[in-house]
Amino acid sequence: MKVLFAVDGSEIAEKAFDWYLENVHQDSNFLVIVHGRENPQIPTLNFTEGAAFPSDEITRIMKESNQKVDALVDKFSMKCSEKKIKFKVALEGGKPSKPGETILAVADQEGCEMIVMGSRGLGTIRRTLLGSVSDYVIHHAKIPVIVCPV
Amino acid sequence: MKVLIAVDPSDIAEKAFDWYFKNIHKEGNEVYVCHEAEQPDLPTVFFAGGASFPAAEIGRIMTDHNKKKNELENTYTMKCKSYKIKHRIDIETTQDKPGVAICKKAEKVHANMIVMGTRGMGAIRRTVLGSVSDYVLHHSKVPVLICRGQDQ
Repeated sequence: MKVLFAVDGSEIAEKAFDWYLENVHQDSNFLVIVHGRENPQIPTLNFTEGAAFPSDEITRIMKESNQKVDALVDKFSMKCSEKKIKFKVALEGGKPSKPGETILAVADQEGCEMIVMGSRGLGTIRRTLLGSVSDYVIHHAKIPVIVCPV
Repeated sequence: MKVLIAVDPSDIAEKAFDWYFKNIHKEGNEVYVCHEAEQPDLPTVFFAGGASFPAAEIGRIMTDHNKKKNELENTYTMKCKSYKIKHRIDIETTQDKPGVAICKKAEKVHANMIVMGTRGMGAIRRTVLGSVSDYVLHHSKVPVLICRGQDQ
């Protein structure tokens, strides 16, 4: 069975992953790891103040963001390799502000039969018990979804 | 791993159960099938109208209710036996809302995961995600598998 695992840099995602591996994973499963990467906040330009285009700042931010994503990919790739799990990583930069849609699009594309994700991640609104991304996925997925709580 | 599967008499619940068994179940998992039935609506007594206590009506409703519970228990007992799953079946009537009862049950039996369908037999059929699964998703302390797509 092809399983889509949605991750971000949070601990919840990592714990969900470990839990999945220990309790649900079957050897014949193929994991598609998705990180719906959000484009980092780029400083806006203040023309009134006559500031120069902050290209250095932007470059730095992009580089940091890419490094974080790489680190994330490495972490999960290593976990899979260690346990000899068949997997692939799907990095979507397409619709950065809509991770929920990205997750479902990849699931569709890859023909996944199940989605696994944490209930909350690194999103900004931390008050809710169920993050906006898992909420979106649960309401719009056409396949079974496992949500792992905090 | 102890898995609590919340069912009702609907098709969706049955498909969720089958899907769980086919794709997720591992030998050694213990399955706990539960149904938290809401107390059925019993007719109120209108003393003003001088009506007598509707004992027959109440009797009929309770018998019906218990019959459904027994049918459900039989259905799932048979399934578990035919799939050779280590199991326990608990069909009970509760004063709590089903969502609350399911979460309580999960804690009581130390379930490691809850499995349920998206929607069951509830009255409000317009929603994509039923109120019970919605509640459980928001309040469960353990992973929840929402089985959907089996009815599409």
